[in-house]
Amino acid sequence: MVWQAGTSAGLVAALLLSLAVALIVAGWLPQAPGEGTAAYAKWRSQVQAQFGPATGAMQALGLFSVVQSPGFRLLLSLLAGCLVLRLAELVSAAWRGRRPLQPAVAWRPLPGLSLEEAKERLRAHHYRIAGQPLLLQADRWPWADTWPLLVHLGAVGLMAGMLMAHVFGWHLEGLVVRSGETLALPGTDAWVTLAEGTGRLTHSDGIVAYVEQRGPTVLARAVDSAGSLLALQQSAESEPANELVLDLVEDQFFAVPEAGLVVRLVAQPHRPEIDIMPVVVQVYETPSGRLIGESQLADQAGPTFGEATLLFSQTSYGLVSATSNPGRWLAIPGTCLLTAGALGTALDPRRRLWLREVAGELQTAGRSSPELGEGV
Amino acid sequence: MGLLTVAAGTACGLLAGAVALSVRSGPPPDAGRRQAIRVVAGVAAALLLAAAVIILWEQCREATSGGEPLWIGAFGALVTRQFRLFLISAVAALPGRSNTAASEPRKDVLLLLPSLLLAGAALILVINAEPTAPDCVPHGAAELARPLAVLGCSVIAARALGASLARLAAPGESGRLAPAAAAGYVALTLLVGGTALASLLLRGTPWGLAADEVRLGGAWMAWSTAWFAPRRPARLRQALSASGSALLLLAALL
Repeated sequence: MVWQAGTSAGLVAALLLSLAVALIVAGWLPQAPGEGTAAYAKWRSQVQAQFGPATGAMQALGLFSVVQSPGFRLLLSLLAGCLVLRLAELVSAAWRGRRPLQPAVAWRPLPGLSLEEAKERLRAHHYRIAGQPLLLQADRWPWADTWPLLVHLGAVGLMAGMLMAHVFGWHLEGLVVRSGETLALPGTDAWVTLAEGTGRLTHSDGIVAYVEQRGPTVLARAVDSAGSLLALQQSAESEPANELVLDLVEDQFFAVPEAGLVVRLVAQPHRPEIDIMPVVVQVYETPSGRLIGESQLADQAGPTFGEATLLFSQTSYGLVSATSNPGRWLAIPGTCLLTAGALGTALDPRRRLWLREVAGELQTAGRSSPELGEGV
Repeated sequence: MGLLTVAAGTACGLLAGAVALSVRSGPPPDAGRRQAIRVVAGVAAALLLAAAVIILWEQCREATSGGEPLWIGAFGALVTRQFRLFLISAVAALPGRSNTAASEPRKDVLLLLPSLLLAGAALILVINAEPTAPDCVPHGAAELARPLAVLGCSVIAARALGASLARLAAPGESGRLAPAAAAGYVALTLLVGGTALASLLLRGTPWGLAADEVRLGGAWMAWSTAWFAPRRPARLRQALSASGSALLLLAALL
């Protein structure tokens, strides 16, 4: 009874439906990035603005971290266990199916056909027929029995790969790598390098790195009329610096306190076939906040405001994700088998029917068979 | 926008009329009335398709007038919600070979219902003048592939939803899923499986947890339950198939 409950299709369907609901909730509600990161602060302010006083309750219910929640992982574990049991059951049933089983459904007459004619027609439609004339069992063979096996095998492989990745691997996102620089990945021995000019990404062995997004990096300086460098500050708390390197992942601001200026740099959308990544420079005077200048960023000499001249040079950055996934070579074939099995199950479902001859009349049981002239 | 409103409004009216005709139909089946329903639905489909073409033409004209290539305009149309709604509802309204029994003409209501709801949503968006300009810039013509694939799956899902609802309402129907449901599930499996495989090869993980990938994955899981559910009761499989196709539509449109 426990085995039957553990291998029942209904249990798998219920688990899949629960996971589907969880994924759909995760897809529609903004999920929390890693705590303590700049992205988390930005996410927090966005959800507060969107959900207001309900934010705390929703966070307590785990609606903002569905995939990382214990409940989701429990459902995944139960599904994995269920699939392993069903895989064993399917292999056993495929072997047992070589011997005909008594049908559990009622017999119905099949007029106008003899047993031999029925057998010929079924064989022409790729049915395997087993048994003696008193009881014949016909199954679509071999693929109809194989597709469910592939689904289960693929799903188990994929989930095993995901488990290996979770236990032994790691995944980092939002890494800003400047052109021509090498970034050591925090908490690991790995590194990534973005080549200058070509923008090609190279990395240490054993990891997979991918450039999610590219954008401009701006080196900013300011000089007075005598050519002396003016101090720049990104915030009131930051130390003044003679130059700033700003990766325009989002709009960046800096102040030139000695000139009473605040500068905003905005990256414009661009396409890879266009080499230039356009950047708009907006200059505001302080303390009024009035916009006093706006232009496209150009290399070398920039706009002059009073005694201050802004100087910019531009390079590029890549926003990189890096993964160490030791289970990848289990997950890839698992995904292929799962996809192939699901396609096959939908296009070529399992069909089983039985035939017998009683008092000269042919009878059938099981699914209706258009191959033998029965209606759908 | 005036032309769009007229086309969308007329199409909605025609679909509502077709639904009303179907509701009034009853056994014995009236062949003339059924033919009228098919003609009305066909005209509505043509109007919805025309509305989609108008949006596509406007986006392409805007792109080319700004010196951009044509595919930028096509991308702009593809990511516009109104365009997707018009196109999906047009295909869903197309009269096809109904797999419902001739003695149950009221099931035409359920076949037309998804199209009517989608066309109504598109009309509301057009009336509220939701902006049609895309908020993302494509980085290459290859980026057309994914929105096209999602649109293709959604189009089939709309037909599958109608067919599953019609089978759900049919007494004594077998648990066998409609051909449109099988086609929709196959398309979604290819999309989700292909995305997962590409992500594994390029990023090392099956998915990047981008919101639309997660929603499509959830819709695929929900639709998969229809294939695992026992054939009896028959309505359970049809209900699960209808849920899966509805979730795919929501994931693709919201």
